[in-house]
Amino acid sequence: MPLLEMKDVDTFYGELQALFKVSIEVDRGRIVSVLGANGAGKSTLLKSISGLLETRSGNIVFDGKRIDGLPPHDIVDLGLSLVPEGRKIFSSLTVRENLMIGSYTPKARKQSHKTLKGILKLFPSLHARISQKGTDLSGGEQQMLAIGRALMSRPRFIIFDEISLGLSPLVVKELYRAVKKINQEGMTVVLVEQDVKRSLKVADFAYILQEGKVTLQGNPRHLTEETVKRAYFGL
Amino acid sequence: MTAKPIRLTFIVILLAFLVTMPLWASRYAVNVGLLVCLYVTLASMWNLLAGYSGMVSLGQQMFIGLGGYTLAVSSMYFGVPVYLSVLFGGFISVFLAVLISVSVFRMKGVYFAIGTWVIAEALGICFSNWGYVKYGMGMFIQPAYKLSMSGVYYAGLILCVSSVALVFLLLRSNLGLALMAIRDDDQASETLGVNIFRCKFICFLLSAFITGLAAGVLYLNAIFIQPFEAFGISWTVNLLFIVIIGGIGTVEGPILGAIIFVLLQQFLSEYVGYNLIIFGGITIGVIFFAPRGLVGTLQMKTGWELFPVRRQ
Amino acid sequence: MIEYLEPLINGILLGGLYGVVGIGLSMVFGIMRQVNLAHGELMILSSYLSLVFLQVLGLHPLVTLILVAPLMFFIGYLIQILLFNRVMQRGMEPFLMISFGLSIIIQNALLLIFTPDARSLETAMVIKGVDVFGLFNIPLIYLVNFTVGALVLTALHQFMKRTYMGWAINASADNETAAKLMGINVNKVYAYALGIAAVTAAISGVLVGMSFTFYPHSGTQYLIIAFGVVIIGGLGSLPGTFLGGLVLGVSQLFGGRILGPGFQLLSGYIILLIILTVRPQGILGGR
Repeated sequence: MPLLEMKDVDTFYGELQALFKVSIEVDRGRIVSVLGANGAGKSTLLKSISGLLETRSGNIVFDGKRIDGLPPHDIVDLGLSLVPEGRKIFSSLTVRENLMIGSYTPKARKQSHKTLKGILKLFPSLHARISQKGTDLSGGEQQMLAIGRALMSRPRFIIFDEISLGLSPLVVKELYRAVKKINQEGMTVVLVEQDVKRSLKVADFAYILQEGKVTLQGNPRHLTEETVKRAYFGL
Repeated sequence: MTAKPIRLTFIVILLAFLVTMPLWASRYAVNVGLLVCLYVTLASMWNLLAGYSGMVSLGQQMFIGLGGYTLAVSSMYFGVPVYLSVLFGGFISVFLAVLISVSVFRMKGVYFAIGTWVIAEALGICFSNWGYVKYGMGMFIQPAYKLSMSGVYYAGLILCVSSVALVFLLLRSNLGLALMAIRDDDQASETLGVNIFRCKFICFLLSAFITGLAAGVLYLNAIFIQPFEAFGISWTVNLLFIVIIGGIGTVEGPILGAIIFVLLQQFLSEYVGYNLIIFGGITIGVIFFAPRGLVGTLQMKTGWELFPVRRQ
Repeated sequence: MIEYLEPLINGILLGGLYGVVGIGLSMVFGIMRQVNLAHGELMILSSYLSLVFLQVLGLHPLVTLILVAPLMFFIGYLIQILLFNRVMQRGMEPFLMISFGLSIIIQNALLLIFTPDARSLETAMVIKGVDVFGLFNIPLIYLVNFTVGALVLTALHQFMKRTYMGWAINASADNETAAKLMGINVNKVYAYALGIAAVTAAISGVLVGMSFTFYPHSGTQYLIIAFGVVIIGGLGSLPGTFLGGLVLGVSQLFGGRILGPGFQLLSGYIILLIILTVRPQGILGGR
């Protein structure tokens, strides 16, 4: 049984339909990539999974439990965490407080100090800036902080939304190294990206969205550049 | 369109009813009618600020107090005829409005609300410490004692009709169009060349003038004025209640709201203490269940307006 | 010189009390971007609750806080869940009106139950004075007020810096969506925040009740003082609130000394209006 299974999901913004019968499966321990141009429905998909947006029909099952209709905080508590696009670092909290708030759920709270140590080992540059304001960090460091914050909830399933947006290639490389490491430690990973090449290189499976529909899915090694392009742009 | 004759007939019947009221109704009923007229006036002026110009004032009582005290001082100390004194009250209110506009027009949203309230409170303290107006003991407005009920009633009715007509005409004028543009999107309208400050300033002065006049008529009826009552926040609370239950940002809202308010007040006056609790409860209920007020909700359901301000 | 030392010291001490009066309003604004017009009534409600416990159980007013504070937390929590949370997304006016409605209800319920008579939480502290260098006397109650006020503000600061709830409150204020993604139930956090604001109302209500007489409608007066404190210091700023309290307290007592006792409140209002005109965001406020 896949860890996350999404079946025939329709989502609306008011009267405007943004997802059309989207079905996605993510197996345990995998890295799955979700691709698509701006406005293809990637953000809507993530909002539907994380409970920020209510779905209208279809169902979403996480680890054998229906999660559509649950509020976001309950979904986090089940072990599904999202690193939001644009990082969304809390401006009135320090780096340490930003990380600690990640372990807000009761289960995560008990092990927060242990988790924190592990994260500072994964991102040593955060260690030096632990008592600075979170928003005073550089873009790359803020992204690390956002990832660390999501890891603090000790998720089994972690989604990265536009992890490389606006960052230098060197930083992106380092972030992807971290993503692989996180995956090797047993976490299931979903990467939502516009950077097609890099994302396909690390992924075990890929979904391509266009205008709110899944237009292509498969193992990245079996997808040709031609078919990806067509699914992506609808040419 | 058949809506227009219906509308006109309705307004004519209503006016006929109001104008002839002192001829056939009891003194008590005329008094209630007067209160409705005055509250329609006051609430329309608050609505002009809060509902159309985005200025949620909590300080309308400053003009009420000032209008009342001008009436008291000029009629008692200077022997000025009462109705002329009422007019003075309006002018003094405008004077105050001009004076404080330097300060309050720099405040936005919540700050404007608090700022206007604090000015009213400060005035209340000044008047209660001022020997000339007999400190906190207050003043009897003796010249008003001799007035006939129907005379005061007609003064209130004139104010009521003209304030509603004024708001209606104002909204259909270019100023009204500008106000609605500001309300919907003030940055866009600024770039379109709407002078926001000027529009708001005109509304603020108009509202001060008419509120000051209405206060004068109010105290012609009440005869007795005290600083903490005259400059008290409860005036604006009442106006808020009226406009919220009637429908903020509609011409009809303050009318319906004032009728309900005054009738409720009369009806609940036997239950001293409970009446305001019920008012508070109704306010909360309306915000939950009819967020646009009674008139706003009705308009949404039926599409019928007594005073259509949008030009076809 | 010395004749001005007394209003200065008393003003600073009064300012400590004013800081607690303002802190609840400041919190709600800083966290929810909303103005709770019922804050003054929550304070006076606490004064009356303390009065009841004092009369029934014979406790010292400060000791009644053991009962009043949790009760007020619960009341604040419920108000947020049942009323405020429902209109949070609808802008400023509905919240203003609802809190206005609530304040009218509390005020008049108090009037019904306790009559309009003046009350006070009597203690020996009002009569006792502390001698300052043999020059003048400071009422003991003023010292108590200042100490409790400083303690409350420090405790609140520590709470916000050191606890999960404190972080969650700040996080929800910064970015509601991101806070939800941390597993935070934002509505519950707001309810806690209003509960805490109500606890500060309880503490200031008891202090005010010990220092001055109060009536069912006294809440309005303290709401304006709270506005003064918060506007001078900047809405939502904790250290600013303390500073705002001091400025307001000192300017009131100086105004009273120079213009006469009737003008105490007035001089506070004038300072407030000047600051509102020159710096609408307050002295320390950034927004």
